[in-house]
Amino acid sequence: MKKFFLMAAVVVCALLVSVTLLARFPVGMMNRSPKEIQKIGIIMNGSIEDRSYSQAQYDAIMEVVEEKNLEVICREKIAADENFITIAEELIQDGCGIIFCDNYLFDIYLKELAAAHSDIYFMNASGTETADNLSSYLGRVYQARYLTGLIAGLETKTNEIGYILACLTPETIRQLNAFTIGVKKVNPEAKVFVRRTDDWNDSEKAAAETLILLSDHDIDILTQHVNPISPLRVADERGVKIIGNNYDNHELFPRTYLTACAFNWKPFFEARIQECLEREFIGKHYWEDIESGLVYLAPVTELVSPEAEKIAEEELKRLISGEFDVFFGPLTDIYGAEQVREGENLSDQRLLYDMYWFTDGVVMES
Amino acid sequence: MMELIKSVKRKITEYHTLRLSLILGIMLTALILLGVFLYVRVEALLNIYMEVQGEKQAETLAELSRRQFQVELTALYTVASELPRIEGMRVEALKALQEADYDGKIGVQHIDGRPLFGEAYKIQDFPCIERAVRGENAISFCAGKGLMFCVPAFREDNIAFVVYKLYPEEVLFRRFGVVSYSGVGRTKIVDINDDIIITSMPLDSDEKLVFDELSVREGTALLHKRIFQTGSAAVFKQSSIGEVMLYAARIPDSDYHLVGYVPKTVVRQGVQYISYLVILVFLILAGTVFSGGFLLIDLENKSKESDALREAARVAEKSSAAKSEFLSNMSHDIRTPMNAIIGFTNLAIENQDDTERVGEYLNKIQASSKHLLSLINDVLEMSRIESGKIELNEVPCSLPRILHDLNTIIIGQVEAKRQELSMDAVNVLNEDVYCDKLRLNQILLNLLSNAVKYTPAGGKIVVRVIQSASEKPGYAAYEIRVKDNGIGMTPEFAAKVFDAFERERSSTVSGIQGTGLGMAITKSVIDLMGGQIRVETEKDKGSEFIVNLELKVQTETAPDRRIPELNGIHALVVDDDFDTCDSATRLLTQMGMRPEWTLSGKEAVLRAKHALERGDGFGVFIIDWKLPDLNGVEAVRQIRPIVGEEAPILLMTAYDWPSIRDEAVEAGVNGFCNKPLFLSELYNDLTRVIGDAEKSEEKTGGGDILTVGSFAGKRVLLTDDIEMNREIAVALLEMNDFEVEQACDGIEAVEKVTNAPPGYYDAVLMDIQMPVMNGYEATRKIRASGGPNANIPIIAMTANAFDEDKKAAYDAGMNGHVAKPIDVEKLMAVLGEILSRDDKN
Repeated sequence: MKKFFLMAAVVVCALLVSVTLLARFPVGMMNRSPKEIQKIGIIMNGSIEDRSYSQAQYDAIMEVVEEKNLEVICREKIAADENFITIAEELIQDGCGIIFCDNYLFDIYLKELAAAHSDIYFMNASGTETADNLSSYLGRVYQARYLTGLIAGLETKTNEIGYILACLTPETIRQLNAFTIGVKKVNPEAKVFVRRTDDWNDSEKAAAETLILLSDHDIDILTQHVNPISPLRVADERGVKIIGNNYDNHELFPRTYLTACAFNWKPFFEARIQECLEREFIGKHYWEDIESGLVYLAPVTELVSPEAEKIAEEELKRLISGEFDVFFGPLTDIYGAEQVREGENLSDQRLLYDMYWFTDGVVMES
Repeated sequence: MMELIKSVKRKITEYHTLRLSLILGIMLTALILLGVFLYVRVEALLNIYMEVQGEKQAETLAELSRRQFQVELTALYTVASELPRIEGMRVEALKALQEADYDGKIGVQHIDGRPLFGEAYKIQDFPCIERAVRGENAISFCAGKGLMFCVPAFREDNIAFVVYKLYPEEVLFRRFGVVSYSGVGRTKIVDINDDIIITSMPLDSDEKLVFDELSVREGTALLHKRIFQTGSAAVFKQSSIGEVMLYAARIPDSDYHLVGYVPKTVVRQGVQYISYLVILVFLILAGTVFSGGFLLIDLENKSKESDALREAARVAEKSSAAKSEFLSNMSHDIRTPMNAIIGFTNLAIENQDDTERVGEYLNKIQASSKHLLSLINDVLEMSRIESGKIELNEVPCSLPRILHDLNTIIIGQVEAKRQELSMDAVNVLNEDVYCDKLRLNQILLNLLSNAVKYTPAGGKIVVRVIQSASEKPGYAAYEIRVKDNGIGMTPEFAAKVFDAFERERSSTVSGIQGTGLGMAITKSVIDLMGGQIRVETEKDKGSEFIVNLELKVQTETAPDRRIPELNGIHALVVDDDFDTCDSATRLLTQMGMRPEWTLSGKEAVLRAKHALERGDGFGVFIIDWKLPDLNGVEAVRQIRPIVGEEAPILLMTAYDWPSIRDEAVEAGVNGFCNKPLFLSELYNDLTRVIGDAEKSEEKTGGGDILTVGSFAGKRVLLTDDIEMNREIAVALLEMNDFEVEQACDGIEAVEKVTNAPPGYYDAVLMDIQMPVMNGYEATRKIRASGGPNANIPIIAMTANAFDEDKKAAYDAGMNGHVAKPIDVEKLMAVLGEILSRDDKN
């Protein structure tokens, strides 16, 4: 009798246990809710005090972070090499749920990291790689750059405009071309003289190249596409008018600052961070146009004539309405070849990857 | 009584069944609960399974939608890719294209928005146009206008135009509506903000919009979130049409996703059988467990039964082994005398001429036959006791009578070995009891004869009966102690003395005859009576056998034995055995006297004198005959003059008073009393003496026994069916001067007796076991005949020597009983007694 009950009890218990286990298992798998994000990481190739590209992003991120009560770990001036992965891993270990980066050079590493950590979101400004948990983004700066070109073309007296460039990439060439297209539109005679630093962040180099450029030509307006603002300083000291980029620095240069093609990152980051927090992240490439406000023409200073301002405004309207974009044809390069015929437009594809020609009006000095 | 037992049995079974049912009930409940739990879990699992299937379904539907869109875009792309080339025929080609499909409006416009063919649309309404201008195939929806597919038309690497196809809202459901679950489900396509692109039903349908219900909206919101992580999701929710499964999936290559629902019943269709199957399996399992359980219980019971059977078999085997051992032991003991008989017979035959030798041999044969007979009797008795064929025959007995008879029987042997036998009784208030007299005698005789046997000449044997109270109402506890100072037993033998066939194996003992069964039988009988027997013994010092019995007393209250005439009288007891003095003193006290005692005859005389001088003379004397210093009679001779003729003096004897009777009376003894002293007897003796001091005493014990010897002139009828028996009997009888006539069977006996003249026969010796008419029957017939010889003494002769047979004989009307083989002395004794009785009458 005892044996029977013992056996029956064992069977019943075994049934209970197995059933409970069986039933739990898949349900558990289904309802695994991901952790809440409470910390974000920032890894910058540039300096967060460059008053330019990197700082613009950093400031905006920090604003959003404070509003949303998140913690931040920040690393700046990080080179784009294997060490970047180590740093990123550290940040992930420390509990960062989102990693913000600022350079396309990080793309390959970020692709790896995104594959390895499917529950961490990666955001890279100026990058082009995407994955389910990796987004790249930039604004269509060329549109703002075009407007600055208009201003430069209208305001130059010498018809010689200086342009300090970091490295030659589709991005920099695109912006240079957009600027020049703007200049040429309102001032067919003007020329844009370009010198390269071959480095995005070397301040002294940029300053040196500016000196050379200014001494070589009779430039009365200078603009740049590097991160440091040393070229602007050099120009400002010489009384050359300056047009900034990435950041509105008109307070620094009250005597010479005209305008800038600047970023307004905050709305963008706000939206992106919110998506991350709500786990509604979509991994894609953002290329926000001037309508979104991510890129904008900094308000012109008093040094700019009202007519110039007006023209810039109208062109902006046209850009927004869609009846015109910067690279609508006809466009000829410096060799006279027609890159874009009348009635044609450059595809995004070409703009992003195939920008290796200079539009008429660009003079590459080095 | 039986009813009571039955009802109790039933209650026990019921209780057991109740307990069993309770346990089974609990188990059943547990199993049911488990079953329910299992069912719920299985349902949950099935839900999950269905949700997963729903997700997959959603993915499939999304893929279908994607392809649909892709087809549109591809078609447009084909057109767009041709456009730049067919400049001239552009409009015609496009017109043809439009006519092929009136659902969607085809159009071409420049990059700046100017129309080339069809209507021009703004990028504010259709962002896809801007994307197409930038080189991307794109889709966008404008509420009120419809769904637009837009592709760039490339001229080399640059975009020259954009080509679109716009489907108005009305055709959207028909063209792009998602058909799911054979039309039972409803699916819509929405954008990132949950705005509907493609409806789930025709626009003019009046079907209830389940999507707008609260719980459904909660579900779709949940899904909306989930598909960010997993691409597709499904969940069950309640709705107005019952429980539905909501599903959603991203449509790849677009900014849209689809959301749909289907009633749960549709999804369950194949799947519900799984849960039924699980329940079935569970029930089967439960059933198996239960049947298995019952089977186990049954097996357990059977095994218990077989255990019981095995035990019984074991006991039987043991018993059988014991019997075999018994038989093997016995066979040796039987063979020994048998061998002697056969051997000596042969020798006798061979030496027939040597009469002296032959006489010797015959003596030996006789002895061996007797021994063999007693052995066989013992064995048969033992066997009958063991097989439970014995029943106690409780009759009224008088303990004093029993002891006196015992004394009578054994005294011969005691005196032959010059041993001393003394008996006494202590505190025997209830002398009359109910017990199986025959068996009690058997026991006591066995013990006494052993005592005599195992005590050398000159030894002393003491028999004591002690009464004490019994817890059983109406009973008294009696302890009978038989003590000797003989050879005693070793401790090892003492432990086995009550086992069958155990005899002390030592040189001193080996000469002693015995069957070895006596003690075993004694113990069995005592056990049967519900008593105990034990032995206290020491080698060479002696043994004491102690028997404890509880016997029913005849009268609970002891009768008042006070003698008024002797009330308060000073009495003197004289005996050299203290215990005797003690018990006598007690008895006298009980009778209301003031007793004193002394161990010496001389002192008795002195004390009598002194007492008289003191003025408190002894009024009663009880003096033992055998006193060491002054023998009893002499003491009496000396005391009588002192006390005068009045005082009764009783002489205590142990049955040997006839020889000294005359001398005692002459000395002044008034009466005799026998040891052991019993209250009633002492009372009787005293009262008799007081009542009639001069009358000659009645004998209190025994009776005159006619001396064995002359039966001349007596005629007996010998009835036996076996000729040889008749021969032997006739010879024996004629040897004793009887005249013998013979009858061959019961009928002849009856005839002869009833037809004989009165007094012709003095007695009939009747064999019991005869064919046609047995001895009992014949006796009854004779008794019933009513003739002058009807009351003729009839003595049974039979091989059936058991007590029951004796009883049966008396019941039939017989007067005596002798066992076959005939013991001459016994036969003569019985005949003598009967005939003398007869004489008196």
